[in-house]
Order: sequence, then structure tokens, then C-alpha cells
Amino acid sequence: MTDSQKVPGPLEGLPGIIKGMWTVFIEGFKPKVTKQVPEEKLEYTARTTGRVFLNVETCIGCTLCEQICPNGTIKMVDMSYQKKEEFEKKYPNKRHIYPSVDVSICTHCNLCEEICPTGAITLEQEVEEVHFERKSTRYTPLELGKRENEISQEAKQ
Amino acid sequence: MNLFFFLMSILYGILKFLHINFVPFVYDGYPIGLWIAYAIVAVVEVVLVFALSMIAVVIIVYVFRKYMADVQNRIGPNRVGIWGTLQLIADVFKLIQKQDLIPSNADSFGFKIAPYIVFTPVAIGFILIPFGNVSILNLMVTNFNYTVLFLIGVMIVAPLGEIIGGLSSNNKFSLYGALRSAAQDMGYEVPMIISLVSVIILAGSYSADGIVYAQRHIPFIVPEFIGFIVFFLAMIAKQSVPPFDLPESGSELVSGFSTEYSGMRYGIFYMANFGFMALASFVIAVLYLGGWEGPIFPGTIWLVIKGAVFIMIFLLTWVSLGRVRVDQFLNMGWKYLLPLSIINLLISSGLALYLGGVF
Repeated sequence: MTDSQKVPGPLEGLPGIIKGMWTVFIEGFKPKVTKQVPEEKLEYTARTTGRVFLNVETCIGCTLCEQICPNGTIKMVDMSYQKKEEFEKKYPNKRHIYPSVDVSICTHCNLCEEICPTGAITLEQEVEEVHFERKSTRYTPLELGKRENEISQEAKQ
Repeated sequence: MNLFFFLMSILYGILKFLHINFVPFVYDGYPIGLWIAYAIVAVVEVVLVFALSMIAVVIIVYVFRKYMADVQNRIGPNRVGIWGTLQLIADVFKLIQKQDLIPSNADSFGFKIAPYIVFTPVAIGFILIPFGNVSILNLMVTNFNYTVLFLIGVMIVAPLGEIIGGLSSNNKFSLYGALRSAAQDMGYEVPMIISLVSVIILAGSYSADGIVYAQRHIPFIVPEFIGFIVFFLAMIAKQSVPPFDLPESGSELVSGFSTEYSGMRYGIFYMANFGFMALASFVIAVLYLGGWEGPIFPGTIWLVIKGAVFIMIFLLTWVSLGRVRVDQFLNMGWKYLLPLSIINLLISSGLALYLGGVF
């Protein structure tokens, strides 16, 4: 056995043992880092990306988001929607197609937000998505504009 | 007053209330004609102490989980009951509901009897602890002249259950755990008994209350500090908790001797582990810190305080220290603890010879 492999005896290791126990003892008085979800709200960092949000007024139906989406999360659907006056002139949607998103397979990759020419699609910090049926995970364009708690529970069920 | 006579008088009152007349034969102050009443009272006492030990186990498990959570900056159990106090009860109900699983090629008899062999010594050990001042209020279920010897003899049985359980599980990890348990017993039991013998020499008594009475002026931790350290390390090794958890070795062997155990059989191992922690802290308090001796408060409170201090030290070593290797543990036991305990024996023999009147 070489010197580097030499194991310290009990008395040589005693200061280290006492130091370690003291460190652990002090650690017991430090504040807790656990958050009691859902009673306490989590704090999200700036880079946290959650569900896709859509501003229906500024969407021009260019289908770029459907083309860039890597796993077919975004599908364009037909929807007749009357925009407001000022948006109708600046962002006309002549084909009346808008993106719909299946949140169960969305990877939050952020590509749709980057490619969108008008900034209609954004990824907000909305991560608490509860669904009771698989078919309810595909959001219509109008539902994409709302927060989770604004979407009615009937629509989810 | 005696706990025995207290319960006897209650039983006497109940019998009088029911108009059951009896004529006790009194011999040497003891009504010997009432052997049925004696038997009932003895059973009640044993059940009472067993229930108290189980309550102690519940409290220790809760404190352990909360303290470990504190050290790791977590919150710990907080959903069942107020602040999670009923978590162990919920766990026990969960374990009872589980399937009773025995490996196909296991030795069925040994596999089934091993948890009880581990658990029974803990339950027996509690009836030998003097919980209060013997001369004022005899809170001791059995009191005879060789209590401490019987206590140690009972406690040494417990690792046998671990070995039986490990050998009969038909699992290589269990086998390794059983062999490590045997090796560990070899390492610490001889120093433990020698340091206990030095306590007996210094006290001049084999009984627990005699040892406590001998510490009425000065607790034995002062003249026998070396023996106290040896006995304390042996008690940690006896519980097989970190840093001496060689029979279980969670990171090397899957769970050691209890790998194949599940459901309530594992639950019995778990309760025995924590019950022995309570028993060991009480034994150390009785042998080295003067048991129920102390000012102002009643003796029972002093014993509980001293025991709680040792339980917290056990928990602190549990959560902070890493596991030693088998060869390191055996080196420690045979090369360091055994000579230290013999030195301690010589010191205490000398003290008993020349200062015998003090103790």
C-alpha cells in the first residue's frame, strides 16, 4: 500500500468527523427551499417557457408556424373571425385560417415564436395544464388567447 | 408506592365494586392467594410498557424524518395529521395492506420468524428499564438482582434475527448482509460487555436500580469517560444505523439482510430499529448519566430528557456521517475499542478498590 492509498486512523479522522457533524448541525437551522405546490406559487426564471399563446387579432394566417413546427403540434384550422377595424386593415387574414396547438405534444421549442412575422405567437410562463381527456389537449385559436383559469372547465371536459 | 401495588389496588377496588369477596393470604406483606390478580396485573403492566415503547417509536420516527428534512433544507412529512404527525400511522396501514410476499426458494420458517427475533428483544428490554425513582415510585415492571446482565443477554439476541433473515432469504445481497451483521457483532460486542462490566464493578451491583443509586453523587460518565465512548459507539453499531449500517448498506447491498422483506415484515424490522434506538438511549442514560437522578423534576422526566439528548445525537450521526468499511469497523473494534475498554476496566477497578465508598 502506497502513501497515497493510506487510510487515516480513527483519531486522525476525528477532526474531519466533528467538522462534518457541525456543518450538518448548522444546516438544520437554515431556511427551507421546498415550495408547497399548489398552496405556494413557484417563481419562474426569465427563460421559463410555457404554453403557446396566440393573439388572434394580429395573426395573418401565413402557415409559417405550421411549417416550422418539428412534431406537428401546430395545425391550421378554418375559423371565421371578424377582427377589429384597426387590425383588419393592418393584419388581414384572407384565408381565414388560424393555428391550433396540441399542448400535450408541444416541446416548448420556441421556433414558432421566432418565425412568426407579426409577433402573434408567444410562449408565456403558463405551465399548469390539467386535462381530463386526451382530446381536450388541442386548443382552438380562441382558447390559445386565454389564460388557463379563463378557459372554462366545460371546454376542458 | 409501587406501580405493582397501585394497579393491584385498582383491581382490588374493581373487585369490591363488583361485590366479589375474597380472602387474601398474606405472607411477608404479599397477598399470595391472589395469583390470578398477580397475573392480570403483570399482563397489564407489560402491555402498558409495550404501548409506551410503541409511542416512543412513533415519536422517534417523526422526529427523525423531520430532522433529516431540516438538515437537507426540506420540509418533511406535513400532510397527514397536524404537521404530519400521523405519517407513521398512515405508513403502517399502507404496509399492512401490502401483499405478504415470500421468495419461492426461501426457507419459509426462518424467513417468517426473523422479524420477531429482531423485535422481541426490544420489547423485552423496555420492561427492564427503571423509569422512575425506585424507592419513591417503582416504575419498573420487573426488578431483580441481575437486571443489567439479563438486558445485555436479551439485546445480543437481536442480531441473530438479522442473520437468520438474511440466510433464509435465498438472495445474494441478503446473504452478504447477514455475513456483515455477523462480522459487525464480532467487532463491537466484546468491548461493549467489558465496558459494561466496569460499570458493574464500580457500582457494585448487577441491577439497574443499584447502578442508578450508585450514581447519586457523581454520574459514571465522569470516572468512566473512555468506557462511555466505547459503549456509545457499540450502541450505534448495535442499532446498525449510519455510520455503522454494515448489515443494511443501502448503496452497496440493496437493503442488506432485509432485501427480500416487504409489507409488515419489513415494517417490524423498521419499528425494531427505531425501538432499539429508544432502548439504547435509555440504557446509556441509566448506565452512565445517572438514570432518574436529578434535581427539581421527577425522575421520569430526567430519564426522558437524558434519553432524548442521546436520541438527537444518534440522529445527528445518522444524517451526517458516511458508512465505514467492514475492515475499518473490525479494525476499530478489535484494535482500538477493545484495548480502550480494558484500560477502562482497570481504571474502574482501581477506583472501586480505593474509592469504593464514594460510589
